[in-house]
Amino acid sequence: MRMKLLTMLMLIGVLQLSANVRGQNALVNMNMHDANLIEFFSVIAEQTDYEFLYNHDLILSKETVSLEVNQEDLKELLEDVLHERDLDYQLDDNVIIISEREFVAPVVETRPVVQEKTVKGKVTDGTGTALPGVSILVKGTSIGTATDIDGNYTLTLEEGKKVLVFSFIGMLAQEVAFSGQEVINVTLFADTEQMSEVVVTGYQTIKKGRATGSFQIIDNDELNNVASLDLTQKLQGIASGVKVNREGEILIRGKATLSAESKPLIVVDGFPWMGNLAEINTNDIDQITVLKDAASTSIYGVRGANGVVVITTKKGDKNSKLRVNYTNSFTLSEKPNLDDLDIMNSKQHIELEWDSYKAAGLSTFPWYNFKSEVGEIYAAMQDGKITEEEALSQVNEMKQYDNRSDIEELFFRREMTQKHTVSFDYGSEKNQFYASLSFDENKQKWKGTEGTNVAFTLNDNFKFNGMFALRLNMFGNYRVNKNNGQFASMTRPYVRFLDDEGNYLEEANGSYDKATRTYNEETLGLLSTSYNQVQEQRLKDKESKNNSISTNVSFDITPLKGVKLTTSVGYNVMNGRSEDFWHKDSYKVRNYVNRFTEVGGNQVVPYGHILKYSDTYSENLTLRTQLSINKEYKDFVFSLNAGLERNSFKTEATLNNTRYNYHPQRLTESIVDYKKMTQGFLNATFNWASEWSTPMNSINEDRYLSSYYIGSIGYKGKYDLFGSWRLDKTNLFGQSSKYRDQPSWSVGAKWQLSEEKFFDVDFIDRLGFKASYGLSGNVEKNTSPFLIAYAMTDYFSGEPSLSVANPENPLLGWEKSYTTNIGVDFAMFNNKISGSLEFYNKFTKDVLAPVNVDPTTGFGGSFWSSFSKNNGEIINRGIDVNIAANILTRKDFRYDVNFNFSYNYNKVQNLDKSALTKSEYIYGSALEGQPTDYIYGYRNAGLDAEGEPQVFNKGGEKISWKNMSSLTTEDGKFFGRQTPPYYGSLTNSFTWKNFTADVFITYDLGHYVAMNSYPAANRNASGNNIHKIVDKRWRAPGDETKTRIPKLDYTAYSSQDRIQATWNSDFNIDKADVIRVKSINLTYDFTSLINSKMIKSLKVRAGVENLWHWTAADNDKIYDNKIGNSGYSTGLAYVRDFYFPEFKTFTFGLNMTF
Amino acid sequence: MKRIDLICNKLKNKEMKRFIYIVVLAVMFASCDDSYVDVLPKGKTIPENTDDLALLLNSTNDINSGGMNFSSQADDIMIPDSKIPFTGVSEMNAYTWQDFLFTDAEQDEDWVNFYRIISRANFVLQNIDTYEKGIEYDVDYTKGRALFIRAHAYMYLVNGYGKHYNASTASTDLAVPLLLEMNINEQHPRSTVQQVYDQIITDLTAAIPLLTETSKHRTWANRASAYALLGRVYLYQEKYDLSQENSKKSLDIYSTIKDYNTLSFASGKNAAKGVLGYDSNKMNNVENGYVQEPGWYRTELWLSNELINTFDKTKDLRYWYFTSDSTSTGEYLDGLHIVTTDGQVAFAGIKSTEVLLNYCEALMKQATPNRTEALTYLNKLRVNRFVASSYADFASTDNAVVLDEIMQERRRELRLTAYRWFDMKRLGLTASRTVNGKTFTLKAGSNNYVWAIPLNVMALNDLLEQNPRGL
Repeated sequence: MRMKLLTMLMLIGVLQLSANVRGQNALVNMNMHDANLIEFFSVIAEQTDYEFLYNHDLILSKETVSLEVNQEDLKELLEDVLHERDLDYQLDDNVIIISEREFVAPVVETRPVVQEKTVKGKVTDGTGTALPGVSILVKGTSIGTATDIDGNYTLTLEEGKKVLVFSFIGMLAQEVAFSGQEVINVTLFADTEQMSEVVVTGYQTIKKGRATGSFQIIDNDELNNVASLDLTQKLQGIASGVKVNREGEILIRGKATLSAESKPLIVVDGFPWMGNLAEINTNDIDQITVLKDAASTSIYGVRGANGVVVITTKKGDKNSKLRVNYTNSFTLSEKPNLDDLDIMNSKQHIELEWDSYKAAGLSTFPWYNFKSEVGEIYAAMQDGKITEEEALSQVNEMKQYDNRSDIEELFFRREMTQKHTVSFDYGSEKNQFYASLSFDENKQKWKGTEGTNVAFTLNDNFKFNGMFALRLNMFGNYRVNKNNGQFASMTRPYVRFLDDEGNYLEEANGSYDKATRTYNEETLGLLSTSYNQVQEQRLKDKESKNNSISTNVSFDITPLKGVKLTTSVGYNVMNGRSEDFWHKDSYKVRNYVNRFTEVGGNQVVPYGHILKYSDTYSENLTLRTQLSINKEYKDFVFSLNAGLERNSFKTEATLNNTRYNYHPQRLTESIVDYKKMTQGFLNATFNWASEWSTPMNSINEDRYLSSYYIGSIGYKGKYDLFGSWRLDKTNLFGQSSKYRDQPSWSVGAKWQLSEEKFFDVDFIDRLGFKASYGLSGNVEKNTSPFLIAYAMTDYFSGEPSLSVANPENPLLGWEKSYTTNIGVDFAMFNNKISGSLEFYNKFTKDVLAPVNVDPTTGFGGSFWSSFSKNNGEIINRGIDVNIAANILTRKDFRYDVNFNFSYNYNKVQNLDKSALTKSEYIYGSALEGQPTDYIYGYRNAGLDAEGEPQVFNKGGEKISWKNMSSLTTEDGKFFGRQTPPYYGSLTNSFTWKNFTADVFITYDLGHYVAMNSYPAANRNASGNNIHKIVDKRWRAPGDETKTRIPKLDYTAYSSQDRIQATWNSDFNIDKADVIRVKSINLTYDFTSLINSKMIKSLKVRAGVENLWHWTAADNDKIYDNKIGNSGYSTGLAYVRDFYFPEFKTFTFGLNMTF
Repeated sequence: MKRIDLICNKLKNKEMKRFIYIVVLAVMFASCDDSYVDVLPKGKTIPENTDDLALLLNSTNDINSGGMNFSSQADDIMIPDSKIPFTGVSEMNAYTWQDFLFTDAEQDEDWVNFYRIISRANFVLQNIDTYEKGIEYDVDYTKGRALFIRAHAYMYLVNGYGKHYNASTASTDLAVPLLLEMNINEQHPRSTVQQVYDQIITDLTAAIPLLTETSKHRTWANRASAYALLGRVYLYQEKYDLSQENSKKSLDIYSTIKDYNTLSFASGKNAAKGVLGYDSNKMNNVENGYVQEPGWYRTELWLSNELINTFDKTKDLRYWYFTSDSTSTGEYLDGLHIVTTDGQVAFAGIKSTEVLLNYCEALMKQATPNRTEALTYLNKLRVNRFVASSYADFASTDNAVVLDEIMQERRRELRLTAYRWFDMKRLGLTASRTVNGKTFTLKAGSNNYVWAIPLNVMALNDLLEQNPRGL
């Protein structure tokens, strides 16, 4: 029982001190001057066998002790000292629990008219553990009592309706109506607000109540409420103001840049994390703090402009015994179902092909001789080899087969992951230790695409004596991924892969029809180019291995009380290798060798297995020295941090190394003539032989040198002022200080109104206002005021050469964001409802905007069509709301809600840019007066009598696509934004006895989606399956009243206008509001049932993700699961046609502590 | 340290002393001067010496590519009706000489490529005198190269986007903006044809003494290519004396012509007709004195009957080798003639045979024609182009006949290169073609012989005036 209590108390952040010497009659000697109570307790602990339990902050807020005693009785001494300070204690066995002094009910005079009632009960925590020392007061009086060591209490009261208030440090107070019950048992729950009392910024730790900035803290529990394994996915919706898009990119409070980095900085245990967020084991995370405003982020300088996500990992607790925790989780998804993709079936696809051959003949592109299986039949018919009847019967035969179920069987499977983590922690006064080892494995929906990952974390804190301390922090990660999946779902639906015996059947593929392929093999001496996807998938082996180790060491020197000097080194190395191996029988190798074959069959590239590999290495070093001074003087608290920091981020890579005729066992290879391969050669069978990438090296090193100051003053816990200043220098911009120095600064203030004497609102427990303002810079790494050139070996001459990467642009500089944040923090109704409301205004000027560059400058064309200049401003304005509420508390039952709401308004303004074309509007080029992510399109006017698409002009007249060049940008329409302006989440937590259920709901509202069906506008020449909506195309006059899908376009190059008239119009652009039941998670705590000495805790978890969603869009498959490249891009986000819906995923897990 | 000791002693405060020591140590450790961020990123360079400038000119991609708009406009090719559905919109616009080849959303790659070349040359020229001297590349040679490539690019631009040089109107005819410095924040109006030609001549004249006679690579300029270009400039200006003089200087340095009798048929399907295997890399063609890759590739092109008919189908090796009546995949073309991998398609650089033909033309067009010399040189070309067994030198005493033969040989030899289009414009030809039954005619002197200033450029520069449009 005591152990449980200790564990529980430690969990809620109460510190504990133990004594080694045991004695029965407690007599103590003491001689101290101006000592705080902790020192007072430690002296007692040293001389007796008592241990003390207390709340650190509570104790430190009390007067210091000065006394000199000899052989004083402990009990008397404690009473004297504690009562003076409004404290009380309870003795149990050898534990002394210190609590705030309760006003013990004065002896109540018995009045005959008043009936008395005795109420009894037990107070426990959420796990059923008894809570001693809980104060029970009759509301509005000083009548009350406290629970004993077993959590029991007895209270005698006058009859009548009363309210009892149960309160305990670290727990949410609870009020219970008393109307004469004899027994009132109460369960108290941890107060998460108080638990996460500190805001960790990486440079300093601030008490939450004093922080003037905008931040949100997420603890491990909250993270675990979401079943998914990926941290990025977990962040989605948990924190207000944070938006994670489908690509897993995090955006905090809107996008404030057009071309520079928009991702937040990630800091793990004080050091920037360059790796993938998904590499951090969520089980190791103690707390995540999302910093949003200038006061919080400007201290990170240029890299903090987009917000900062600070992650702290778990540490061992002081004075705890060895604890071993094992956590696992298994997830299993639905099997991908090709019926969910909007692709054509065999009949539809064959009809489409046949129709277009009949209408436009079989003529192919002059340089593109692909013929599908149906095309070959048509060709045979045209050449008179078979009759039309025979052709039709062959084609009809093909319609009978549909390869979807074969594709599902051969190429797809359920997604599956498993993850196991074992962690150890223990701690003494001088050393706290935490270590974990994890293994995870994931199998993705494509067969052959899977990975395993082994990782460890080690945290060790040493305190040598009062003056020196050392923190050691290591993360290691070894990851192996196989990437052998085949994206077969776009294959023509009538293609058969295997015959009944499982032999590979030839698929039409590549640029050549069957006749050409035969000719190439028989006459030119080329290798066979028959293709089969199943074979291809089996004959390749793509693997990447990555290992990384981060070591962070911090050394603290505390020469004086309140003064600390910290020197830290953070060093991270990552090594990666990716290998692509192709077996010589693969199409890839055969085709490659053919590309380098002379007429007659001489192979410049020898025919054999090919191995292509790339190596990457990255290194990240941070050195920091920081002086922290924290002083208290009367009612004032001062703090000052000053530091110097240097960072370097270095990456090296050698790419595209290729070994020809590679023997994986003997490791031999053949030497090839690179020059010949690059420049071409006489008698080449193919005109363009340079289908290979030259090996290349790249080395990049970014350096930053920074100095910073952070200061704050607090008065009586009511008023706080904060200021920070930082100067960053970087090598990114070359050597001129005009460009490389970037200052960032911020100021902030907080007023804790509820601490004021005059504040007298009954139901409000806590109310504070805060405001901050500051500047931070952002930089686009790829641009420079100087002409920057990339060195390479010229492909023709073999000489070194320079190619311009960036023109000279003397008008270029940093982007500057000025952020204002105003917020209210509150708690009311006995902390039943707490939360924050914040308003922000982020004004970014000198935005590097891609402006269309006049090609006359020498920087135009497909590679340079735009070019960044500091011209333009972006406003991000919004509201972040976070509310945590305890809706219901009954015996054994509790219902909590956590609600997040964010609103972001985003607009580009003062963009000095010449007029854009309609196409640029459609592609979403930055535009003055519009958000950074607007969607623009036409108003579709259906089809004309010939099945050609039309749009409305602004006057409402129908304009054929052929005349669309006469339209201006005003004829189209702005729909809205692609990212939701309104978003957030709602977490419902139900607890009933040992059972917990979390329902996590996210919502994204007010945005639009453009659905891409680009290929559908065209005659289908590529051989890929296309959107089934094309089956509803215009086929005969009269259809224009029934459909808006234009007739097939038989030209090789459809006009952009024709495509855009339909696919970039309101026909295809839709509202995208979506509400999702993101996850439901059930946990059952077996701990109390097991009653085993060995197992301290056992929880079993089951969850389901993506259970249900609602969306405003016509087709509800918005934001779906990416299946791969659909092969086309119109520059619009959220292309959805060929995406699976999000899979329902089931999770099972176990968490056990020994 | 001693000083600090003294201060500390005075303070007589042990803790304070300890504290100060540590602060001093910390500052020593942490103090880092700005040299930490002076390190330059590797793999990218901010040019700082003349060698770096030379390297900028070494990039074949940046400096030696460009030139495509002429390709479908010249009368060398035809697009059969059956291939029209598979032909790009802009290519069809070019083929039918439309007012605008590109929309405002498309890039005119000729404008883009040649101005890219000019900007690199300008950057070299504006910095070469002030940058630190490098050790690998001769500064004069680098400067000469930059002057040459700038002249070469302007020569293409002035003839593409301006009217053909006419001495009486050149000083008012608008050409292209004349940029002599790299500055992305400045706008320029169009200069006149005269101004651009003057600049080209100034640049080339300055380049010649700086360049070496020959160069290490075909992509690098040399004195032969500079003289050759000057010869062409004067030819277009109808200053024939100067033209023949400069062309001759070029030929004296470099006049290699490949003897097609030494070519052998490649094995394979097309062995009977046409060569698949002649050096497919136009960069390596020995006749190319200065290589300008096209911005455009084609493996199969249909030749116009007009061009086909200029060849002697039994004796001309060019017809024999470079045309085919079936595609590379064996599709029989039914009377259409196709060029497969000729290696000369869309060439816009300088080749010895062009210089030779410029020389011959100038010799015959100068005030006193030099027929003997012209015939000597013409036959130097012909002997390498016709079947040896039946070869006979061309001979005539009639100046007009000789000039006509030179111009016909020019048509055959410079087929499918940029020079046919410029010749059509220069010589005032009328062309017409029929597309799906509709006939398009490009009359001599038509507005559309001058390309439109790209619409996207017009949109970005208010100072530009569009060329008059209409066939």
